[in-house]
Amino acid sequence: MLFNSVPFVIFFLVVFTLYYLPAARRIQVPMLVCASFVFYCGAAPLLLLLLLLSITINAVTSFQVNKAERAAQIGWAAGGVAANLAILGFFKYGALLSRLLTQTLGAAHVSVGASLLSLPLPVGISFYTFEGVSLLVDVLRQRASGAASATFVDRQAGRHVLKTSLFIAFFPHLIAGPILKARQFYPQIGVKFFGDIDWTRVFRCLVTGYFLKMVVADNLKDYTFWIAFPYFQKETAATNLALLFGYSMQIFADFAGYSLIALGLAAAFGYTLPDNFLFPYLSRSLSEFWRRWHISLSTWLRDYLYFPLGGNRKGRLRTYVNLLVVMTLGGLWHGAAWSYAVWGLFHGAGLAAERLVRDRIGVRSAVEDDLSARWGLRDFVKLTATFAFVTGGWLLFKLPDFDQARAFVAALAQNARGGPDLRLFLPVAVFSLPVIVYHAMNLPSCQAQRAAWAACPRYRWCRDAAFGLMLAALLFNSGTSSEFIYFQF
Amino acid sequence: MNLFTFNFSGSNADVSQPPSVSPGQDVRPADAPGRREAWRAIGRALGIFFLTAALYQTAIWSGRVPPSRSGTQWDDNLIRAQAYSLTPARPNEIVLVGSSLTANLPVQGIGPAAINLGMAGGSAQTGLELVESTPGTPQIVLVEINETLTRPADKHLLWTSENAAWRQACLRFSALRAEFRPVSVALSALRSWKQRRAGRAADQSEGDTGPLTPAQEKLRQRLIAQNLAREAAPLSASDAQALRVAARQARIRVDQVGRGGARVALFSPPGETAKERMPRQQQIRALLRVEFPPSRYRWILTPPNFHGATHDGAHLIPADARRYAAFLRAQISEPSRGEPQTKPTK
Repeated sequence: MLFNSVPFVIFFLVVFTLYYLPAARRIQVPMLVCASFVFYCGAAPLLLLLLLLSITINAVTSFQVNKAERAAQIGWAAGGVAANLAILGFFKYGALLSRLLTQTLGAAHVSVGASLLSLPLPVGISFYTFEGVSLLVDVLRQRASGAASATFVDRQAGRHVLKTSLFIAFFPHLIAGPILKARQFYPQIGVKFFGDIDWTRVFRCLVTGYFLKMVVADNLKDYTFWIAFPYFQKETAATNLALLFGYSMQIFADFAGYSLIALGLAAAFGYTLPDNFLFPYLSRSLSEFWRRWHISLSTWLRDYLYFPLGGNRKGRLRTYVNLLVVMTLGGLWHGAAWSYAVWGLFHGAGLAAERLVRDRIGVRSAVEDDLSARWGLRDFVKLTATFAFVTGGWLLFKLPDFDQARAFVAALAQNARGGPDLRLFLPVAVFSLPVIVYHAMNLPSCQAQRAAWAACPRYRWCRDAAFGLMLAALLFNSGTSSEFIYFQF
Repeated sequence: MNLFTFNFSGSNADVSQPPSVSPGQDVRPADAPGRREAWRAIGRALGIFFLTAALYQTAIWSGRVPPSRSGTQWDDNLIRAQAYSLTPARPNEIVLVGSSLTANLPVQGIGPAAINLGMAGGSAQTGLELVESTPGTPQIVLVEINETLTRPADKHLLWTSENAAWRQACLRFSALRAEFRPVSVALSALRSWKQRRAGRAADQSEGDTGPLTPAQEKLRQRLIAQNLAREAAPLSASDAQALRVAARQARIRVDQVGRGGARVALFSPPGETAKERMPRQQQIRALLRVEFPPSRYRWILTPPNFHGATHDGAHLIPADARRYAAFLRAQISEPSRGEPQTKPTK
């Protein structure tokens, strides 16, 4: 079920109404779990079995980790993590493995490959599998630190299974994140009251999220479509670069829009999900970019992969290697294709190079870490360079075929002369503007003024007018409906 | 407090420390004035929304907002599909259904009452469903029959015709239609202004810009060569089966349209001459002749001496598209032969 579909709106209204009935107060959590299962069934009913399997594995193993003695804890945790990764590897990377097998072992194994290729990719598997792993590791870490029991694991098995079900399957975040941390989510599970709903958060998250998705991303996709082979060969370099810029805006609007919708929906049910995007195109370096883009994934990679590999505590060379490995695996998480691995490696190499330069200079710029510092010209130059790097990387998302990506770059050189095609350039500029404004309003200079502005009635009217106009744009200028880009991951 | 977070809620609740509530406790938030201001803010936003919507619709009713002519190919598809489904078919209408190959044809060359429902990126499946689901019966329906039939009907384009509530809403409030999307209207108005300045007729094809530069001609030849290379492989068994299945679905729709009283003729816009002679194309034509036998269906066959030039191996250049449209017009003006044997039931 897409968030921007009529069946979902009906589903949400029904669940929301039943959820806050006083008579249903005691069964709110089971009701939300069942509703989440119904939501997932809309994608593919049979895949619900896989979701149930994942919930069962994670609930049982995390409960055992919490209860068992030290040696057994590690065994249960390792088993749980291995099961999670096996499921992810089988369903997501089966096709890639089968292609490798077929190439290596020849035609005799084509039937195995064909079976693997025909498996459907379960929607959301990358997200809920990572959540399962984080649950197990967090329980293990709390026990390893000497705690008698992890703070968020219920002593009663049934309640723990129920909470784990909600943690993994909670429908606002089930399909495309944010990837939750158990220690943040479990304490929130409980009875919720209608009077406690933060309507401002619900309203603004939903309006902004749907606006970014349906007005910005869905309209931009109709133009960035032309970054497709062989169409881009007809366009000038200026047009192709404008389209690539538009794709950068589109992928942000699509994903950030989804995340905001998830936050708004969760808030409607009394749950607070973490922000997943923090104006990433304001980044002045790649390391800053990864603290602002898909924050739930980057913190997962940091906490469960980068730190266990040693982080930056094992010397400079090891740090660079760790960055390369973590980002390459992070790229592969996005999809079972070498282009995603290359994209991850591209970012890993960028991060490693950044780190190398900083290490050589010897002094880490304190100013860069202070996200609230006022900016100078140098910051805008860094912002441009970082944005250009990131946008170049998005080409592999748009054109996963390496030959086509190469052809695109070749077309830039071959068609260097000539200005942009205004039939494409102008609409891309118009639909990119909201993303630019969204970011610009959160520059440090604007942030510094926010407190003063908030006290001004004119500012409040302008702010509310912006939300009103976004609603109007949703009604009158939504693009042709499409799936969220990150649903494919 | 994180200064960098856009303050949606007016508070920066620490996610790791959620508010604790005892079961059964009916919480009245302490900041009631804050809550009142929150509701006022939402109320203001909704008020501005309704006011904007009303003003825009009024501007459209008063004729101050011209409809957009075309934006993206999807916009264009949706505008034409909506326009067709919101207006009952007239008895003298000639409707063309097909893919971008059909959308590329200038309907003025076919007749004053001709409507082009060729859907770029789509196929005749969508157009046939549109014709079926719209009240009224056109006089003639020209159906593009080729391998594009494997593209299924686009449900998004059919939404207006198939969803009664949305259809009524679009009939009453034209602001909801794709042709009145504010950004498309603004960009279309800008394009029209530029065309008037350049002295070009508003309905002149923007692709008809005169002879190609050497670089453009080189690109055109490259695109044609790539197209021909793709056509070099014979039709695979799985592709043939998929085409058969799609053709049968289309045939059901063609028969239903015919039973409704429209005269149906089948055609396929020609591409590059070299492509038409490729074994793959011959296989496709043979397969489709089996599914749509000439004894039951009227085929408008492209004459062998029609040598059209294309942009990319498939889509005719404007001059040849006009020539082909004139050919179609001449063909449908002739007395019909070999029409479906089904009787009208509408």
